[in-house]
Amino acid sequence: MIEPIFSVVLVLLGGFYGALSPIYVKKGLNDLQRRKYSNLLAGAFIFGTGLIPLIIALKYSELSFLYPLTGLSYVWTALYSAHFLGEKINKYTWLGIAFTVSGVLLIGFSALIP
Amino acid sequence: MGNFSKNSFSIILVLISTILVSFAQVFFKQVWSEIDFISLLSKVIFGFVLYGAGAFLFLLVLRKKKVSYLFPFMTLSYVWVILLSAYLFGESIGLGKILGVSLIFIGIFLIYVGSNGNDQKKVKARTKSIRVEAGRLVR
Repeated sequence: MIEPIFSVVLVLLGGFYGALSPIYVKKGLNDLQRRKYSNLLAGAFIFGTGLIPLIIALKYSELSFLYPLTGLSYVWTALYSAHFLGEKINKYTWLGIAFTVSGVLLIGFSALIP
Repeated sequence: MGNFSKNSFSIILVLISTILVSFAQVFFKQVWSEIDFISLLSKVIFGFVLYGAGAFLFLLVLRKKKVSYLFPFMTLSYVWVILLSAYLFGESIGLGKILGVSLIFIGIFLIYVGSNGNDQKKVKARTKSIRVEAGRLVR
């Protein structure tokens, strides 16, 4: 019983972490003209290492069970971009994000039903 | 180019990016059905090239647009993967997948219609630099 909970927590934490990647990449793209590459490299590093929690979690649970949870990272990315990049997100975009994420979750969970 | 056509051009680039990424994923799946090493390796390399090209296109657009605007478009790659694996591997498309794909399309439509996604910070910085340049020319 403890193993599925552990793997879900691991995937969620990995999602919080991995969703930082586009934030750093965006910052890094803004820095390009100033020839500052640290943010871009940080973004690439997080992109690369962000999959490690999922890979570890796969040792304890099946992919079709865990994969839908990765769809939640689109929510974290939106929250981060509002908080860290100061992006103004209007209600249509929020609603759109809610729709796309529910779509991804539904596709993921439909794999669980034979 | 007008604001509208500029916006649609960015979105076309993002669409191509998601299609490239989903083709890469299909290639990665096909890798496991290859028997000889050379064709396995060539498919892996081709998959990575497609993935890299998709990522590059996305970065081009990300320079000008908001993360919160562009990132949801990446969920379209789920749609292309479903269609491609139905066509190539004969995987079934059930009710759950159809509903999920519809939700994704509705969401993308809302985001596209509700905002042009322009990065205001970038726009402000550009108008500021144009203003400085103009001031210099006047002097």
